Parts: sequence; structure tokens; C-alpha cells
Amino acid sequence: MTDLFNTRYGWILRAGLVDYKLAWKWQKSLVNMRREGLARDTILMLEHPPVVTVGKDGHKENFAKCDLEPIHIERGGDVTYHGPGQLVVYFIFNLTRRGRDVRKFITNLQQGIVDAFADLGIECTIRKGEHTGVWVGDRKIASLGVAVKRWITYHGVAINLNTDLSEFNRINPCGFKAETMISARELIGKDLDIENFADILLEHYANLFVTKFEPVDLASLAEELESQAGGYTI
Amino acid sequence: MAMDVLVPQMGESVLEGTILEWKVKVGDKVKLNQPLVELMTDKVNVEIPAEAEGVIVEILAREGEVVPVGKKVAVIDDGKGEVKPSTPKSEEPKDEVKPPEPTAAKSVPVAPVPATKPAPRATGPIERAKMSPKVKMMIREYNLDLSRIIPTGLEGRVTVEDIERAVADRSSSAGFTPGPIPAPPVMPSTLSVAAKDAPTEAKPAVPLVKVDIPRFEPLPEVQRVTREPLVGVRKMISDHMVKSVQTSPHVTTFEDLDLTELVNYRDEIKGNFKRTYGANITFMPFIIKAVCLGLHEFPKINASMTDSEIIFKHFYNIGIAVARDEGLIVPVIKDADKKTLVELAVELAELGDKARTNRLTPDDVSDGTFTLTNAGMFGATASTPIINQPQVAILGIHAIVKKPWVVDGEIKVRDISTFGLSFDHRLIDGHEAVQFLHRVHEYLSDPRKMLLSLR
Repeated sequence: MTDLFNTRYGWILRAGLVDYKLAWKWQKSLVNMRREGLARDTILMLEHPPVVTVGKDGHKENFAKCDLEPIHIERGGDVTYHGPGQLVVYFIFNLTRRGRDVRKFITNLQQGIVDAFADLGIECTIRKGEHTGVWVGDRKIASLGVAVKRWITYHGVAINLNTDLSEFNRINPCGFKAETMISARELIGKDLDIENFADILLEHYANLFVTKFEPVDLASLAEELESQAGGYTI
Repeated sequence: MAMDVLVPQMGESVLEGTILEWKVKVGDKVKLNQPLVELMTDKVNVEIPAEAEGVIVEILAREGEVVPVGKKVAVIDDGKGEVKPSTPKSEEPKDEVKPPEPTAAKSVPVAPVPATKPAPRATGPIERAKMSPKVKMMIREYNLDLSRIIPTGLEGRVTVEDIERAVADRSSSAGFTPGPIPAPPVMPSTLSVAAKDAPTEAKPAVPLVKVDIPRFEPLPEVQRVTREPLVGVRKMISDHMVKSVQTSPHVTTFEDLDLTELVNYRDEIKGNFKRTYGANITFMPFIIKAVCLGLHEFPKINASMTDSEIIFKHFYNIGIAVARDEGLIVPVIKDADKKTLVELAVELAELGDKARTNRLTPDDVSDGTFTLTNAGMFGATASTPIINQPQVAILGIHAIVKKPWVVDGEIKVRDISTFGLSFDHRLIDGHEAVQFLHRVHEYLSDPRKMLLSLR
């Protein structure tokens, strides 16, 4: 469904392997930029080196024996693990421009993942409440945690493509047993091409959010900021 | 009037959230968009901002309490009197806000199916109704009766589709052709008669006055132009300007500063200031202070450079361009960051006086790290100054003019000045310059904020 008049333009930044705290800083800068109108609705796709983060609903017993120093952050949800092989997608969206409909936003985040996996022949479902996330049967393949500040979103979803699932053993991810987690690799028995999956996923997000996401890299993001703020070229 | 703060919809099938933290308490004054309360559901953490400026008069839920979507958790009094009963949102019956989602199966809201569909209802006058400018325009263009449009959008908004449907309904029921309202009826016969009788050339009632354009004999060559040798200050300025634009790729960024608060404050103190210190308090000391704070945060703007290195300067000597008949000169206030506003005002008066009476010493005009130039005193509202080498940026200050300005959605008369920052793009990236200028704006638009950072 192409909608000539209602299609929005957004940015997609694919950054590869990025330190969690650095990406966290990027997110916060983008939130400010988005609020000031200096950035568009932006999707960040990246992977993190092994890290454990705890959301606002963190329960100590779920990461008591964790060997990594957990980072406490402002997203919703409990403890989770990020690491290589897991595709992390952050969304810096201005929900005021999208009817302040957090519910639709959350649904879209998950539906995109369901649609992308469907293209690869993996059937997933969206579950709700404390089970929020994308599941394959009773195993969880993607987790979700979002923060909304003055109607600007940040944080997002983490999708286990080639994640080493044993890494989850150090915590109770989202309060569940570590064995609850599953990866696409375990399902199909071989490594998934992360870049290819990211392409498919982005296409689905473009449809769901009726937004054309134009690729930017970090350097040109700075450039774009300049041209929007001052109207001059480099 | 009282504005209700309601719990928003937060997630798929989420009907309630937990109050994580109140960021305000009863009696607090809140600004527009100030975070009021943090709410949490299983996976989403939402900070609810104030939708109006005012005072918190009521908080209706404790931290840790579970609150349903649509519940009123606080009341803000915006001090504007009891005109309307709270926000438009709360006019809707609460039941409409949170119907339990019937099934889990259909969770693909690609089509614009609203999450909560309010019962069709008559909408208020066009100005107050919830709709986009495009929709308002369409209603006027099609001359539709607002009460006959059934809104299907979010929160009872009228959508483009609603208009199209209303137009289609009207055309089918009343034989109207969909399309913009036709021009006022003009009888064809009248039109053709008018066309026939209309003179091909409009004849004015009064005859034209004929103007002869005179021609003058050219002046003798010796009188046409006079020549003066380019020497002294003029020659120096000339050489310097050429060198500067050849050395630095200049870019100028502009920002409109709302200086109303500063103007009010300065008006308040100026009489007493003059009696106490014998000098006028202008806006310049405040601008110098704000600039020093900004430079401290963006050290590259206070630097200079060669082909091989960047020279960061850990002192803040601010040059002020002063106009004289002989040409511009730039006396420098040394260590401006360490001086008080009073000291700056007195020194500025002294330096200005020395400049205009040609008593400046070489020391008075050397070693600047950043320059301010005020084209506003002659009425300019914008200009693109040239950098005073070897510095890398210069701030052009312009006239403070009373302008209609939009503040919190209302048009108000504010004291506005456009500042133009030219910077050397070899060293300074646009976003740094823009942020620096914005920081200066932040300090000058709210002198009380600047107070917090002053040494």
C-alpha cells in the first residue's frame, strides 16, 4: 500500500558492533535531536559486545549471580543480555507525530519481527503482558523494552538470530529461566545472515510505520544535523 | 481552569500501569512538557509530560499504585479561570477510552484502524474540533456541515477519509457533485454582455500626467570621481579582510534570540546602575558573559589554527568591534570570563571612550580570542561578519526589535534579536557552531539560568 501523501521519511543507522554505553549515549542524543526537530524518526540497528542491562522493572534475584556488572537503564522490563549474533533495534520515534499511540507502536515493533521471520519460514507469535515479546511456541526469540520521554521513544527490541544462548545462563532473562530463550540458529540449524535479516526487517518496519527509512551513517548524521539546522553545505 | 492528567494507552492489551515515581508534588509549578510522573507497564516505561503550564493542585495516585488507562492521576490548574470543564480528552466518557481488546488474533494495525473508536458524535465548531489543518481546509472547501461528519480517527479526530465519505454521502443524497464549492453564481448572460461592453483598454477618469525624463551632460572627467591613497587604518582593514576570507572558509549561522527577560531586567537596573557606578549598563556585558560560558563549553570556538596544529587558548579575551569615522577598531577585554558584569560594564565604557578619542594602546587591541560585532546599533537585523584573524569565529549582534512571537502557542510581543555567528569551517563543524550559539541563546533568554553558571 503506497500512500504518497502520508509516507514519512525516517533514518536508518546500521552501526555494526557497538559498545552498549556508547549506543546508549547515541540514543539519548538522538532523543534530544528528535525533540528539537534536528533528527527524523530513526531506527538504529546494531549488535553489542556481551552486556547485561536492567530495566525499571528489574528484580535483583534475576541477576544476583551475574558475572557482568549490570547496567541500569530507563527502559521498561527486567534484566536481559545482549551479545554478538543478536540483532538489536532501537527506535527514536516522535510519538506525538504518530497519534501518541504507544500501543500501536509496541505492536508494530513486534509485528515487524513476526513478519520478517515469516519470510524465512519461521512462525512466531506475539505474546502479551509479562510475556510481551516474540515467541516461537513456548520459547522466546525476541525481547522488547521501551522508554518514552515527552513522547519520544527510545530503546526497542533484541532479536536472537545467532546469539550464543548459553550466555543467558548468567541471568533469568525478563524473569524467565535462561532456557526459555531460543535463537534462529537453533531453529534452523545454521547461522543466519544478520545483514540480510536486517534488510527484510527494515522493509517490514517501513510498511508498518508507513515510513521510508533512508540510510545514514554516523558521519553523515552529523552532516544532516548541520544542513537541517543551518541550511548550508559542508 | 483545571486540566486533568490521564494515564495514556501504553501497550498491546495493557489496561493499567504502575506509578513508578512522581516528579512533582502538590503545589509545584509546572512548565509545559515538564515530566510529571513515570509510569511502568511490563515492558514500557512512559514519562508523562505536562500538557499545560500551571500548578499541581491534586495528585490522585500514590507511587507503586496500579492505575488503569484513562484514569485521572493529577490535576493541573493553569490559573486561567474555570472556563471549560477540563481537557477535551476528559469530556469523553471514560468507558470509551479503554475498551478491552476483544481478541489477540487481529494484531496487525497496518490500516488506519483506530485503537479506540469513539461512538460517532457531533463535533464542535471547526476551530475547536480535533483535526488537521488539511482536514479543516477540506471542510471549508467543500462547505460541509461539521455536525454531519462522523469522526473515525483517534480520539474522535476527523480524518480525510471521513471528509471524503461525507462528500460522497452528500452528493448521493442531495445530487451534489463532489468537488470544491463552485464560484459565486454568475449568470452567463450577464457575463457575455459585460464582456461585449467592456472596453479593450481601461480608460482612466483623469488624463495621465506626462513625465519627461531629463538627460544631463556628463561631468568633466576631473569632477566625476576623486581618488584618495589607500593608507593607514583603511589599508590595514582592507588587507585584513581579504586575508581573512582567503584563509577561512566562512559559514554564518543565525539564531533568533528572545531577549525579553534580559531587556526587562536591564531596564529595571539601569537607572540605579548609572547612579552607582557612573557607567551605562548595556546588553554587552551580559552577552560577553554568555559567550564566555559558551566558549568554555565549546573550546574550539576560542581556538586558532595553523596548517599543522590547533591552538586551544585557556584564556578568554573578548574583542568588541567599535565603529569610528577612521574605521573599525577592536579593543579587547582581557580575561572577560573572570570579570563581573559591573567590571565589564565599566571597562566597556572606558574602552569605548578611548577608542573614540584615539587613545587606545596597542595592548588594548591585541591578543583577542573571540570577537563581538554589533551592527544592531545602526538598525541591522542580520549580517554575516568576517572573522578577525587568527580567531576562528565572530558573533554578529543585531538590533533588538519588538516582534510578534509565538510563545507557548500564543502570539506575544517579545524583544527579539537575530545573532549571526560566522565560523571557520576548517576547524569548527556546523553542529558545534549551532550548539554554541544556541547555548548563548539559552543563557541570554533566561538571565537567571546564566546566574547559576557565573563565576
